[in-house]
Amino acid sequence: MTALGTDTELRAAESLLVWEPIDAARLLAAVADDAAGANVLFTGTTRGVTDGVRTSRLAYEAHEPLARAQLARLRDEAIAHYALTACIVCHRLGEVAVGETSVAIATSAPHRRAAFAAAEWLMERIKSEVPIWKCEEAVDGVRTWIHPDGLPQANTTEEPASNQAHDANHAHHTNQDGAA
Amino acid sequence: MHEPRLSDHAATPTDLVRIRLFAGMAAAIGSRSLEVAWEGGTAAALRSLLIAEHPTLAPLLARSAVAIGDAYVTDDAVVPPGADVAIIPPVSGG
Repeated sequence: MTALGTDTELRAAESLLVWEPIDAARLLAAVADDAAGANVLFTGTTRGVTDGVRTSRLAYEAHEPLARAQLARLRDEAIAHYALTACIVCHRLGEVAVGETSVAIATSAPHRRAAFAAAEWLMERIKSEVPIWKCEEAVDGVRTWIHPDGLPQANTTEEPASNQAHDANHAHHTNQDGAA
Repeated sequence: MHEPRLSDHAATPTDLVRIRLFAGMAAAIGSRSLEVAWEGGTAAALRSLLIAEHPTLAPLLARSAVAIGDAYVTDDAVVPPGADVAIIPPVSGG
């Protein structure tokens, strides 16, 4: 299991990069709060098939200081703009078996829409701005580092919607890559 | 005794810059870093220099961001000699 520390330490963590399996339930428990009526947990898990090619192994690497700084910045922005009660963002590095959790986001807020919207906004930003890369190894042994088309968005940071915390009847982020 | 050296500066690593590489870029050249002669200039100029010196990296370099230390920098930012530079190709976390 993970050596993630106490719930208090988890909630205070600016960013979490870990090399062990992520215990996502612990993240969800750690954002619970008397002030929060909504708790959202997103987990991203490694796919065994991508574009018809069976993947046998996946691994992630990061520019760690930069990734930590970017994760901390995004977390701060999410907490501020969505008025979150608590927020934990955790990404795993190294080899991750198919089906295991590679990324987990836990948010809590007084009401559900802010908690949902913040988790989705964070996930979109992580996938476009945080310097973490995935390597897929196919069953035939061919290893491929994944570098999506399009320019990195390091300098075009998209602001979270400004008024969502109180009036959140629609999706708050704009999908830049067209993913669902 | 040491020889007197009037131009110490010219021989020091401060006229170099070490560039960290990741993922597909490190795999492409079989190394996680590059060192190039560098007296300072913009991030865009550094990218152009690397494209000229390492054509195999050109397609990814053209789509990469530049970071110094733990921050991204814009193309017009000055990269001083000796800086902790990283080239950040399109990311695929999540």
